[in-house]
This record gives sequence, structure tokens and C-alpha cells, in this order.
Amino acid sequence: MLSNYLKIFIRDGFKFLWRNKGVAFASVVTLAVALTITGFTMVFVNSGNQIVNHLQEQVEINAYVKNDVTRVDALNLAKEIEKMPGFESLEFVSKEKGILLLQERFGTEMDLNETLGGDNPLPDQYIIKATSPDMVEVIVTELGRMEEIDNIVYGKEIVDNILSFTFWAKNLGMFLISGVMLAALFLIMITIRLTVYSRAHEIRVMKFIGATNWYIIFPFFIEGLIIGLLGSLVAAVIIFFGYQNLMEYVILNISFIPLEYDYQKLYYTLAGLIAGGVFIGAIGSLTATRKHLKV
Amino acid sequence: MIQFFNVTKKYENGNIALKDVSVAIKKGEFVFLVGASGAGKSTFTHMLIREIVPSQGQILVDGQSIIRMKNRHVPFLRRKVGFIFQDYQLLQDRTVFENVAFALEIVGLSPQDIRKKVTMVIDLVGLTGHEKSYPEQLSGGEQQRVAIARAIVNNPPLIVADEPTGNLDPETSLEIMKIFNSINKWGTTVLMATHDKEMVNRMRKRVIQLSFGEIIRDEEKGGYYNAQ
Repeated sequence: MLSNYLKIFIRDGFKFLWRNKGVAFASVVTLAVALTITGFTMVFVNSGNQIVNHLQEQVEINAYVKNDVTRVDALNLAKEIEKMPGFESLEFVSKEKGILLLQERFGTEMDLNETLGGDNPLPDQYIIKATSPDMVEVIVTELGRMEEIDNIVYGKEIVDNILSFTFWAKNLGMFLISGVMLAALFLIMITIRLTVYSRAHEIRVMKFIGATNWYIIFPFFIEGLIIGLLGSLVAAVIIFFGYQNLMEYVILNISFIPLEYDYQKLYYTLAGLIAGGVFIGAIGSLTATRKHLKV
Repeated sequence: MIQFFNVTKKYENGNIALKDVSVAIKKGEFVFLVGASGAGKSTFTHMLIREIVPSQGQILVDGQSIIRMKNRHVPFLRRKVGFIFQDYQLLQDRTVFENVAFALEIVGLSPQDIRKKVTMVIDLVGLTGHEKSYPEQLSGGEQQRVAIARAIVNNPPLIVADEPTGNLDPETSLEIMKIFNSINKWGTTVLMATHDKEMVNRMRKRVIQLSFGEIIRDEEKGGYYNAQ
């Protein structure tokens, strides 16, 4: 008996999907559009975060050591700096290396050694990186307490800008994603509800003839599942190729934007999208059908 | 087969559709339920498939209480009651064959058995050759035949028809009535709510007359008279 039901469900599932192909097609398209927008928003926000992270890595603190501090004492400072909260990495640039770096920048047209008369006015220097921009201020304060440090230079404005940009980028991203997701969910639910509503009469008749609830729900559930799968697959394909083309364009043409391919994140996003689409399709049609079962 | 014990139905808007109705219909009977519009005929018939639940009283269908029945048992009650609607209630996106077969599919019959039974019943109601037609391609009388075929294919002990000839011309009505008569002769109980004066007078079956929710006449081999 169960195998008879199964045969009928499989046969009917495809048959009625085909007969209602207009409505089914519309649902698939709606789902695909909604999920494509959601997916692209997620990809964009993710890329935005990538840029933010990159910018964060750029923030450095330059701490210049007083001239009267011996080299040994200057090198010992590293131990104290490493203990500071928010410390990530440091680089010691001796005055000798400093002048070489400066010479490199000037090129061969000017001999610094000659111009300066053999003197090296540069101090020893630490280049310090913080774990995050909001820790920069902490490290700067700590450095300020050290007697051996003469001068601290860091892009205060840059740090402040990055901090507010990060704040906005992350929050706006979350806001955008949740907004788009909500809109997509709403759109999909309405589409499914309309699809089921167009067959409310059918459900009613089935009930009068003596069909059990699960007998009525099951085909709708399968149909919702198939529609969800098709819609999200279409969206996934569009996003996949869209991502590749957009990244290629950005990397080739706008080279100052520090973007990298992040296929792992992309695959996670697409997998989530497909799972979400199937889930919404199946659960949506289930709940929509249940509403019409009370006859 | 059907027993009503002091059944009252009061709708939420205050309308009293049935008032303290008690009646019994035995297995194998053919009963006409007559009365003016609003007399309570539809409430009476639709209670038999538990689409409407009484406010008071008790109803037994084939020995089963409608009142105490759990929701999940309702489908099984409905399989025992072949219900025929005035507006046929066919599934528009299914062919004649599929509409009739549906009643057997929900029971879990094998496709071979379904084919055999459906073909037989379609022949019985005189629709052979129309198996692949869709309801909209059929006349009213033909659609009602499909509805009858669907109601009887499962061999239910009770057939309930709510104004089955209400939308049909007299000639077609007569054809339909002949089918009901044959079904009844095989032992199926038939309860038919109707306005069809001529038919009731011609058939001379038991007549239950409702007026303002009360039974005012219950007569063996009765006629329609002036059922107000």
C-alpha cells in the first residue's frame, strides 16, 4: 500500500508541477531573483570587509627612540613593547638602516651621506602594528609613558577614519543583509502563498473526498522543495559567474582596491543560499498548505 | 445508517439552521430531503461529512459518532460517505479518469485495481470515451456524472447528494436520477436534498420535509406537495 502511495506521489509530483508550470516557473524566477540579490549583497559586504581588514593591517605606529639612548637599551625596549595590550608585531629600524631606506627613496641623484656631511640625524625607530585599529590609541598611550621614546607618529586621522568606516561598513553590511534577506523571505512567502492559494479549491475538494492531511501536504511539500532547489540553483550559478567576472574586472581595472578571490567564503555563501532556498520552499509551502486544510 | 438525536445547529451570526432534529435513516433506504431554501437541508447534509458540527445533540453515521470523532478520523468518515455537490466540485486540472481515480488513490489502491474500477464506474455513469476530457470540456450533466462516479467508485455504504440536479435540465435530471436509483438498488443508502418537485413526485420514496430547521413531515412514499 505504501509503495502505491509512493508511485502516485512521484508520478503526481512531476505531472502537476508540469501542468502548473506557469505558476511554478514564476515561483522559481521570484525565488531566484530574491536569492540572487541576497547572495550578491552578502558577497559585496564580504568584499567590503576584506577591504576594511586590509586597511586595518596598514595602520602602523612609528616610535622614535631618543638620541641619547644606547643601542642596547633601545633594543631592550622591544621586550616592554611586546607586553603591551593590543600588540601584534614590531620591527626595529636602526638609524643606519633608516638612512639606507631614505637613500633608496631619494635614488641615485643625491648622495645623502655627502649632503649631510657624514652625519646621521635619524633616530632609531620602532614600527609597531596593533591587533586592531581601536588598540592603536592604547599602545600610543603606553609608548608615551616610556622615557626612552622621543616622538610617536601614527596616522591618528587615518585610524579614526578607519574606525568609523569599519563601524559603518560592518553595521551597514549587517543591516543590508538582514534587510535584503527579510525582503526576499517576504517575497518568497507571498509567492508560495499565492501558488498554494491558487489551488485552495483543489485542497478543499481533496479534503471532502477523504484525503488525509499528509496525503494533501506531501505533494505540495515536494513541489516547494523542487521549486526552492531550482530557484536557489539558478541564483547560485548567477552569483558564481557574476562574482568571477566582477572580481576580474575590479582586480584588472581598479588596482588600488585591495581585493582577493575568496572562493571558500563564496562556496559557503552559495551553500547557505541553496540550503536556505530549499528550506524556505519546502517549509513555506507546508505552512501555506496547512492554512487551507481546516475543512 | 444515519441517526440524528436532538440535533441543533446555531451559527455564530445567531441563525438557527436546525432545531432539535431527531431522525433515523436505515441501511438501503432512498430518502428525499425537501424544504424551501434556508430550511436547513444543506446544514443537514454537510453535517454528515463533518464539514459542519452541531451545536447540540448527537449524530451517528454508520454507528460512528460525528461529535466525538477526532479530526484525524474525519478523512475515513468521508470515504464512507460519497458526497455529491450541486456544483460538482471536480478538480479542474485533472481529467475525468483522474478525478474518479483520485478517490481510490487516497485509499492506497494499486494502479491496476484503480484502472479496473474507474473504467467500470465511468461506463456505469455513461461517460465511456470521455476519460481524457477535462471538466471544463463537459456539459453540466456530464460533470455531475463524473462527480457521481467519483462518489461511488469507492463503494461507500452511504451516498449524500446536495441538490445534485439543481443546475440541470429536466431530461438530464431524469438520467441522473436513474443512476441514483440503480445505486440504491445495489444496497447503497441514498440521501438527497432537492428542490426538484417533479422528481420527488415521480419517484415516490421516503420524503423528509424541513421548515425553518424543523422536521414538519416524514412520509414513506411521499410526494413534494407544497414544501414551503
